[in-house]
Amino acid sequence: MRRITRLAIAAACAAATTADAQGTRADELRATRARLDRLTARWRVADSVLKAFDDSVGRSRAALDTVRAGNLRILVSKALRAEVEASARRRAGPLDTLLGTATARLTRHWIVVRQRNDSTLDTAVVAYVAKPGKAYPEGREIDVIWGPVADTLYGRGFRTAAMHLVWSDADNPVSRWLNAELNPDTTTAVAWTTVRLTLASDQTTAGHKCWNGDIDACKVMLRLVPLTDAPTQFFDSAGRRQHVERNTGLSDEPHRTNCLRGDDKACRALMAFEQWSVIPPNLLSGTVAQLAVRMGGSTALDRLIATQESPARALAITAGVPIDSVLRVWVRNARERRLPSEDMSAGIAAGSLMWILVCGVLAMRSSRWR
Amino acid sequence: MFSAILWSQWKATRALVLVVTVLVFAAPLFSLQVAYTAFSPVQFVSSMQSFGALYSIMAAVAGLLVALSAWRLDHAGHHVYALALPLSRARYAAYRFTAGLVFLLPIAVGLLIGCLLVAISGLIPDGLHAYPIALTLRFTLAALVAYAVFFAISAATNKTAGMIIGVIASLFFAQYLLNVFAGNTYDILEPTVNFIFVRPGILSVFAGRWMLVDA
Amino acid sequence: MSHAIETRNLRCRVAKSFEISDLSMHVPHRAVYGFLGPNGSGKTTTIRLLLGLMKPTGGSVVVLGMPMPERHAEVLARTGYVPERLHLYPSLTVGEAIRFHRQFYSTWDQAWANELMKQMQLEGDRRVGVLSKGESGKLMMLLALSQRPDLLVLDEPTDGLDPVVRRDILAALVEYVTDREATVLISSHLVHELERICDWVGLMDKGRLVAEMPMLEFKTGLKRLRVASAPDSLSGAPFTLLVRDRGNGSVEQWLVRGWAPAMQTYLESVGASLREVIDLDLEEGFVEMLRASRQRTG
Repeated sequence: MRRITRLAIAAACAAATTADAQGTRADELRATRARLDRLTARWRVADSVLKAFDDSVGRSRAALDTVRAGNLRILVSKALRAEVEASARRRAGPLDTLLGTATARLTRHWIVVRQRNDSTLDTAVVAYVAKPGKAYPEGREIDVIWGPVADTLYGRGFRTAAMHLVWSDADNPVSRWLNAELNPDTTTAVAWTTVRLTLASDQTTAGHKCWNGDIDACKVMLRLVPLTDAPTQFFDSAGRRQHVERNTGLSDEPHRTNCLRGDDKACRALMAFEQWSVIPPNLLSGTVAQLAVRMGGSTALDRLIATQESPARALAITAGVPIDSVLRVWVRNARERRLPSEDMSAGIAAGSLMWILVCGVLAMRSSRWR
Repeated sequence: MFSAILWSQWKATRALVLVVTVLVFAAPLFSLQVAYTAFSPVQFVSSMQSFGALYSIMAAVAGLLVALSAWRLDHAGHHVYALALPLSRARYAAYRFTAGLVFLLPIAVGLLIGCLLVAISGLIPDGLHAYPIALTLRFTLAALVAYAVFFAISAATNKTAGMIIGVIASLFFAQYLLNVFAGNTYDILEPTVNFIFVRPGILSVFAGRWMLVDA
Repeated sequence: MSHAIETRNLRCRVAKSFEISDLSMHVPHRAVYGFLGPNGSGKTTTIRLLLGLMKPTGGSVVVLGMPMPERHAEVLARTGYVPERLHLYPSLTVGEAIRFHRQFYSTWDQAWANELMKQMQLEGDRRVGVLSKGESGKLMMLLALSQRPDLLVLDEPTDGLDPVVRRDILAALVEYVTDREATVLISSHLVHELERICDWVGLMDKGRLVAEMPMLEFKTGLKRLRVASAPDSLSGAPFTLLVRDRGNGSVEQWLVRGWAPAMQTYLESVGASLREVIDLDLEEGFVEMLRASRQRTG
């Protein structure tokens, strides 16, 4: 097909040359160029179709071996099988611990490890979400990670793919509330630092109150209660006025002026009209869900995926304690779980002292002094 | 003997120590003044972080200047006087080295006082935490490492110092040749920089975040 | 005879074109040893080798009975050294330089240091960096003498100084040597200056020790002879013929070492006739010795 297209382009070029020699030179040249452009465009379309076809045929024809390790089911090209299998066996146990009983959900899906289509050097790990009752490759694929072959690549790939696959079963209010895959791992000090900074920096009254331990305010912050009147739920009257003062974007002039003069009704009206700039984005829901999973034990993730309850109720079911208790721990962690200061550690001190000593000894043995 | 060397070195170094001490004392206060205008803790931390590099640079400069001033008098006299004194070369170098270490202490104290003033100022937003002692310790160690490195180089002969500079220049030249003749396949600079700056590399204390106030 | 300084086949390459080669010198105890040589002959390098300021590439050095540079700290504790250029820290005042220096010497004599300060008219609060050449020289001499050393090593201590300062420095030196019976090694290219105070002399040229002898022998034994009808070769001569200048006529000019009047009979025995014996002063002798040495080495 490509050869035919190239021949056509060559013929068009030849025709253009001949036409150029006859008739009105400029017109014919323009016509020929237009024709050439059309042919080139067609050739590009045909070529991309051909490439896609070659790719899909190649993929479906590629011989993939099956590897099973714990609950992981992996399709892997023959050349990579040995190292992938060894890596999967090492990772299966820790993944079971991390996911708890939800790990059984992995057996319904596949993880695919193969050479990347557009690179001879890189290997790709792909999460394949199987359609019920359908065989590979008719499901949905999610590219997880790719790079040069390495055990660490597989380790990260299997873990992330497993998260995708397990969470793909969740189709419930809490998954929509989270709006992302859940990482069931223990929340790191770095993540708590982010929560702390976000909460402490929040400009809303609810944010301030939540930071100071008001659990109802936290529920508003985290959208764990329905938002019926966001300006009132997120702010008190002073907060509303401050918010309008800060946000020059809220510029419905009579309302703005009145609001700043102390007319709370005007503030509410203005903020209700411009709601998009009132409600801060819900960025912290992942850490609450993560905390609930860790509090709930090995079956918690399974419960979170299976429940069809509201997010607040789902989190309580997951954690096995009332949502207020979960949020209290969450606020406490946000306030207290700090990263150890990077500025100083015993390792840094020991290393530095060693180098000071080494340099001192070298200075004493300097050739000038012998 | 040590007191004599300490005293002579103090005379040559005191102006420098005074200037550097004032600068490091002022740095945390200045960073607070800049960060104080931030309207959220995130901005405050971000503003404070922008001063992190300044502390590491000041530590390196303090170490460098004190090391150079430790040998300045002897370099000026081509080391004849020092070599003619009736004590072993190693002992003399050890005295000079120790004296220089002592002069880094006022600088560290200056920084500590500045950092403590920031910590007790009451101007740090809720949710953030000041690390005056950790930062001062790190600054002190970094300054000491820089001092020790430059002291050792300065104590060496011109030939040795030239060799060190030659090795560094050769690395850059070798990387240039590799880029020209082998494309960008090989990178010898990155592993070298990692070797120096990643723990336990000699300058690893300079790497990472230097935060007086952090979340 | 025991020696305060003794080197054996000392070698040190300082630059591509200059080296100290096979230097064997002997400075007797309690001697004032004049170390002569033109500029660039290797006097300063030799002194630095003697004091352990440089490391030799071969040979051995023994100073005050101790090998150098292995025991330099002990040797330097008993040695006063005045280098050719001011080596003290310029930011110190004279008083501070003295206080600094005395910390290193257990034998330091502060009373004498004060006396010397008065004698030399040095002001304690002046900075070393602004001292004149003469004042610097006096300060360095003060420091070296106040240590009460057993050995004084002075490298061109009076070079570039005016006659008054030079006289002061040499007077202090002579007084010290007289009192203390110390050994002095003093280098200079000003020959006549050493003539008065030295009892031994060593002559350096191009990194080699050309001659080493008691001053008396140098002054009295070195002669220029005018000789007629001398045979081409001399055998069994009781003196050392350093230079033989045949000239154009029948009378030759000889430079000899170890001459004594009784040796005239030797010349007669070989058929030569001595016309004149010319005494040489130290400077003339120094120049002639150098000439002879250079003729020998080409």
